[in-house]
Amino acid sequence: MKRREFLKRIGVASAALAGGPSLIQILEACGGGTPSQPSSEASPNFAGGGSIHLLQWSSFVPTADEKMRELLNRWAAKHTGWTATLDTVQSTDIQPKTAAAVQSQSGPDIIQMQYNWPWLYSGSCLDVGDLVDRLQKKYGNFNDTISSDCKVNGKWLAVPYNFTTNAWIYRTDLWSQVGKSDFVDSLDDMLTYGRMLKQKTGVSIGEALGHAVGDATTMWYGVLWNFGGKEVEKDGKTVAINSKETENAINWAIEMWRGALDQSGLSWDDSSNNRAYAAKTLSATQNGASIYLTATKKDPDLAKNSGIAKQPKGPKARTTIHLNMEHAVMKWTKNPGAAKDLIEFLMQKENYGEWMTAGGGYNSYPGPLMDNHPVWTADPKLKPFNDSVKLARWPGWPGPPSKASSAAQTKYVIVDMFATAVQSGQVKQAVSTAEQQLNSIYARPA
Amino acid sequence: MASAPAGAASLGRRRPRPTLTAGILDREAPLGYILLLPALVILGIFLAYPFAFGIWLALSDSTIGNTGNFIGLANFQYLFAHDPIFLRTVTNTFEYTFVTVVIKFGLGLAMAAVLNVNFRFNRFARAAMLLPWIIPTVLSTLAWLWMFDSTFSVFNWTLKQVGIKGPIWLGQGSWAMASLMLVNIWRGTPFFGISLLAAMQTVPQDLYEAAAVDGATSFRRWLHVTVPMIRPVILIVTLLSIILTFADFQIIWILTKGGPVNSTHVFATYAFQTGVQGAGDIGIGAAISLVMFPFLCLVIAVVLWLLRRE
Repeated sequence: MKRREFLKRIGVASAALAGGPSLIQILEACGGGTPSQPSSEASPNFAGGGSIHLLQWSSFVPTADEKMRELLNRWAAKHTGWTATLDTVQSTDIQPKTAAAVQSQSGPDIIQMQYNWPWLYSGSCLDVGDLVDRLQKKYGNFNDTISSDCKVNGKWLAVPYNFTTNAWIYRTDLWSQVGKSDFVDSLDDMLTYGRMLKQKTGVSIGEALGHAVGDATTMWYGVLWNFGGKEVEKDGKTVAINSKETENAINWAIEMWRGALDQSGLSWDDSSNNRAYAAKTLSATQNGASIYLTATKKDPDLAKNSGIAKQPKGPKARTTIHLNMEHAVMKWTKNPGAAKDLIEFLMQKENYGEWMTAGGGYNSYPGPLMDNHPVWTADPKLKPFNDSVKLARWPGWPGPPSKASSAAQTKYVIVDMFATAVQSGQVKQAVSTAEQQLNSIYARPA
Repeated sequence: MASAPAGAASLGRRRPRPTLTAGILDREAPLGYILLLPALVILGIFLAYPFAFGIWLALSDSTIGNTGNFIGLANFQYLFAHDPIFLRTVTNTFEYTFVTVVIKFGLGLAMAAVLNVNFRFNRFARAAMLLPWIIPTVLSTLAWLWMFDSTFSVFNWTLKQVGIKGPIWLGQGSWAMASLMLVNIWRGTPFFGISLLAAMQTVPQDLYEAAAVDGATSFRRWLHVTVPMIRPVILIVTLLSIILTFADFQIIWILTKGGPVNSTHVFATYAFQTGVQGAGDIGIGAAISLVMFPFLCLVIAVVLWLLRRE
């Protein structure tokens, strides 16, 4: 082939490419799913077949994911020509994946959101009020906290799905040595007996105090609230961290830190306390049911010597943060009706119950419907996980869920306030730094 | 007379006038631009467009899923005037980059000098030295995470055997930063070492012989022959290392996620945390990333100026 001929051919090929997919289409494809298309139908239309993609995190109890896939297949079998696929990603990757989908307006038809994400991505979630109404009519109202996260400015933008609650798992063989085989019921007692236990046995209570997405947030927001502190007023604008109550909470943390806590918690991620408890270096830790469920399989003696208790109360309250999840139908789905139908199928009592059983107590229904499910009676130790659903609040409480509360949570303002104080002992300085950061976050336009 | 050969007849014919396309392709300059076009298109799509889009985002109040409006330099004003975590991030980034690049350079130069000498298992040593650079960063950093683990740390176990209580490596500000620097140095030194070794091997042997004849000691030969000869490579390798270290993400995100108490946040991790996680303030996230740009431009300009002086 001569040079001129070669160049002509290249030119033709380039022209053909130029007539192919546009830059926008290429970029949309990078989002990882079906190209964006305005939703056109609200009621299920199963004619002609189709597919639904559901994005969820990879559960810490893998059998729950297996059951979810089975349920999706069962739903698909009911509708000729339809498929339903579960895509799972690691817990820390689900928000970046969601953000990429929202930014490119393409991707999974349904996304399992967490906390107040429907508020963050409100422009990309379809109104699912009709479905929520049907479910609430049939099964009773959803829990207030998860409803606050799903209902954005009066509109349901996601369907409440579940709580993966935390509770305290503790070593009964150790705590019985200080006369507390049923654990403690107040933060004051936790300090007193935790200190006593550490002196007697050398074994500490363990909790993350670093940038651990779930455990650190759950622990330290709860401590703040239980002493009566809060980051913002009910109006969601006025920063209220600088208070006597906050200082009391920090002083408790400092005492705990010096006398009862494992100080390496400063470097922990969400899995560190699981490993430490399994290695028997902790007397108690707050976590989801996964620690206990793993112990029942791998170390039955440890499971036998473990008790589970709900969060101890503080002088002003008994609250905590739980990871709550909700299903949002995304605006770009071609099949909004089918997507809603799938969610409704998953929320049906018998299907949800099967999924709960597969999770072995790791997941709780976001309402009272499943309070008497066999998973809580087969092993009564697990019951506190379900009981503590009622204690749940959201980051930024008592203000409404918002972008600002989410930013404060992600930047670990509250967690770092405690972490700074326990290391330096400078309570006022730690509060002042947190206040400065919160002022800067809450001053930004909503 | 015999008839004229066919060739002669064809010579008599007028040469066909070249088509417009052929004319363009026969000229050097247009052909050059045509050959350059595919590369320009690729650069435009994958470099210029994201860069321009990044600038737009930094000048807007965009959040994930919302295009936002143009707000000028308000994001930068917010970061410098009202965001204490960002100011900490700036300090951290410069500290992290300066300390690690200086140490990597020193160790890399020493590594290259040793490997430039012939000794038994020299080739094996060269290959082994490259391992930290070859192993995917995520994998090697996960291994470091285990070594720094507060409960199962091999370092602390060893220290305990000799009666010393080890620190909480990733839980205390200065120890956490030192740990990150250690991992970065471990990973980045072979890059300096192998690049400088390659440069050293291009130095003509007769220069050393001439210096030796003039009575120069080994150290003076190294100082006055080797170093000046490999100076351009030193500059380029240092420049690349500054850029890579300044924009480091993986090591920090895996080991500390910017903690404890933001003492290890650098531009890339804080930009990700602000722009993608939580509230998804992608405008501010882009602004944080863009703050790196003027500094890196300055470094590049200085290095290129020094290279031109060579």
